Amino acid sequence: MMKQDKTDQEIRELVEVYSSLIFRISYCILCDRDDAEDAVQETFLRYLTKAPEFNSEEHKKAWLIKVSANISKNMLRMRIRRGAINLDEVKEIGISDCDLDTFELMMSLPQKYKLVLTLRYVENYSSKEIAGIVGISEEAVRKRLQKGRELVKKEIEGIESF
Amino acid sequence: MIDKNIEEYVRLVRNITMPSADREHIAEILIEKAPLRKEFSMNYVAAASVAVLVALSVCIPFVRRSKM
Repeated sequence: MMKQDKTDQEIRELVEVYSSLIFRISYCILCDRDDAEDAVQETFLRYLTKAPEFNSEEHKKAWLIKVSANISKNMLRMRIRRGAINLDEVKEIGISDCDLDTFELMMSLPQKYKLVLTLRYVENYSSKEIAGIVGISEEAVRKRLQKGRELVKKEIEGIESF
Repeated sequence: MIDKNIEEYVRLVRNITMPSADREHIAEILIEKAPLRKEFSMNYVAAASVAVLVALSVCIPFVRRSKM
């Protein structure tokens, strides 16, 4: 049953404000446009049916990120085929031709590092907040950030050395 | 301070956006599914209530008879 009766306009605004954020998080985990879109849709459906009362927009945003990350990780576990990134679809989601190689390498990093790097440096969450969202300890977040930074550095230096 | 490698990662990930046609498509699906779910759940509640009333009206006479 719908927790809150949302009007069509409210649903459109919700999608407009949060879809790219959720899509970005899901894409970093799934590396597939169609799957990421399915995750976005499922996240919004869960929001419409099971969302708790939120204290603030930040609370709502963190809840959406947490739910979308969990949905995406579950989808990843259930997925049999793990193909390479489709470079044509990457252009459709905002990556330019000259960034394709770097983007492909960045997306080839393990999802657990991409998720914490994205939350820390793209969404500007603290280690404590990330720990709450991802469901791991602050210490584990710091370790993943450290390892993630090393992996990014290694990949970028690898590109530059060519 | 963020090193330049992470800046590159941030720049690329920030560029990821959901195409507007896909956003509209998802909004349409959500709008379509929302009332259906509500209608289904209301129907479900109504059907369950009727089922309980019928079950009680059938069972109560039997219980009374068995106590006599």
